Amino acid sequence: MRERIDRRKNHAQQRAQWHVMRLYSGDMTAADESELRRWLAEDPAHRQAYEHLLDLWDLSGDLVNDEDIAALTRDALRAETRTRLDRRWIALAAAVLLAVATGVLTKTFLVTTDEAQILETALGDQRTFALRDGSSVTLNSGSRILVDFDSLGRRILLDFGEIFLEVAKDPERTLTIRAGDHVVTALGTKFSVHLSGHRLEIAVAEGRVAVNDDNIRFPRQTEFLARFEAGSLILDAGSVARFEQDRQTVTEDSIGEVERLQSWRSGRVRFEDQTLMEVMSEVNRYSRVKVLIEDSTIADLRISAVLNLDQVEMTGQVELLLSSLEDIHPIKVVRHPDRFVLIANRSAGPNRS
Amino acid sequence: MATNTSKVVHLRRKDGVSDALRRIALEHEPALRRFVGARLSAHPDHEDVVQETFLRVARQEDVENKLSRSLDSVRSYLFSIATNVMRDGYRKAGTRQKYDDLTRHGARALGVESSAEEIVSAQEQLGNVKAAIMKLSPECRDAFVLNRFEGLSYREVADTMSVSVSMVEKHIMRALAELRRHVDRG
Repeated sequence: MRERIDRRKNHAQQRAQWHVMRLYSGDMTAADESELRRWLAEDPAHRQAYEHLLDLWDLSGDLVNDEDIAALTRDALRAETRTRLDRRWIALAAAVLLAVATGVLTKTFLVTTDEAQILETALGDQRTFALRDGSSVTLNSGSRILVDFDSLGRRILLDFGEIFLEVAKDPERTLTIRAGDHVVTALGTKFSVHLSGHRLEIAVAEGRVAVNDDNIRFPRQTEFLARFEAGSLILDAGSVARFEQDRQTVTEDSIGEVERLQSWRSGRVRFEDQTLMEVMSEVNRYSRVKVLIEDSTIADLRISAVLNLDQVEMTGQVELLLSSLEDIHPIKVVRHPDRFVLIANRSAGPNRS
Repeated sequence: MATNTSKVVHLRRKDGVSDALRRIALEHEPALRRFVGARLSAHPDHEDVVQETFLRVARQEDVENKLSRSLDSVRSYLFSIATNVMRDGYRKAGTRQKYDDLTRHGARALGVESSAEEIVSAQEQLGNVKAAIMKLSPECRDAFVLNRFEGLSYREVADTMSVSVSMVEKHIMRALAELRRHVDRG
């Protein structure tokens, strides 16, 4: 029993160390923050451990003028001159590592030429590209972008599909993404942009982006600031904006929704209480073998499900999802070599499970 | 079309705030707010701290030069200013409650009751913290002092030491653990 309490205390200490470390990393995400709050509320001992560490951290700052500490700092800096490497390559390498660490399926490619180039993915494929400025862009299944970076600005044209961006900061050049009728300007962020026909969806995981609906061309920071103040749509972390024809909706403080929308990056797509029609049109984005709904009575069924992304056996994954739906919804799946057809299962009750 | 502009810190050119600082404010303000929020989770005065941080930065000498450093080191600079703003706030506020809540929670965690002896205990704690730092393994110590006293971001520390950022994060966590162990043992 005693040992168990010690172990729990030890675990709380480790979590506290982790949270304080993240806090001072400078890139704490909305998800980190909500996790911290949840953890603090869980047990008064957590708050105690956390605040104790913060106290020590603050206190250590008083040593900045201490002679011994100053000597240690000088020694540590001296090591710098021995081993300094080209920062740009390090940024590139870091972007690659990050991409490898975050994407299960994702292959990473380096974009090393200065010329504008087209990057694209086939159905069921996902790829991460490390860009020269240290940014990285991940293309979801069936997407195409044009990357055009030069000394004036960093421009990406989203032709179709969905991308997730981690934007390296650059005080001189904004990064703009043109998608349909909109221009998204990043201020050093992580976010995704999804263009499907006339429907545009932007989800911000970290930082802040600005959205304009005119044709601003490659603004420098100063021009952008003026526009920012003139009233762009500003999206903070946790926001999702959707544009369709003349309709525009913005949902704020919905970290969960942002994470769900970007879940494809970790190798699975989650659906929560969406219509069968919505879910299947999403499934068809990843699969060569399409799903068709041939009965309008089932199109609006509310579905929650998970689709695992598997480049090699995507059809099998779709089949798995469909058969799980068949178990709990009044749906029947008719399998053809080139398509799945969904019809109503008249013999099943709506809540058979 | 603007929805969120009320959240933006008000730093205007006519108040003598440079473009550089306004850009910095735009870029870092969400992260700074999150940082302050995570430190002051139980307290309502986040906005004051964020505002005061930027104003204090604006009053710094050589501000342009400081803000032209790499952007993650600017962020770590902002965080250290914000930490000072928070600490000063509690000292100045002087009310027992705030002081207790915000600077002495460490003592409470140790089971030390608030008393006059605390002043001495704070000196002792500082001595313990220093001793703990001196005893860290060389890599761990380099990472900690470069971040804490030289103001380098984790990324910059990683570059300096030719290790990965996640290794730097491990060093920082290790250093925190050692600091706590030393102080708790007293």
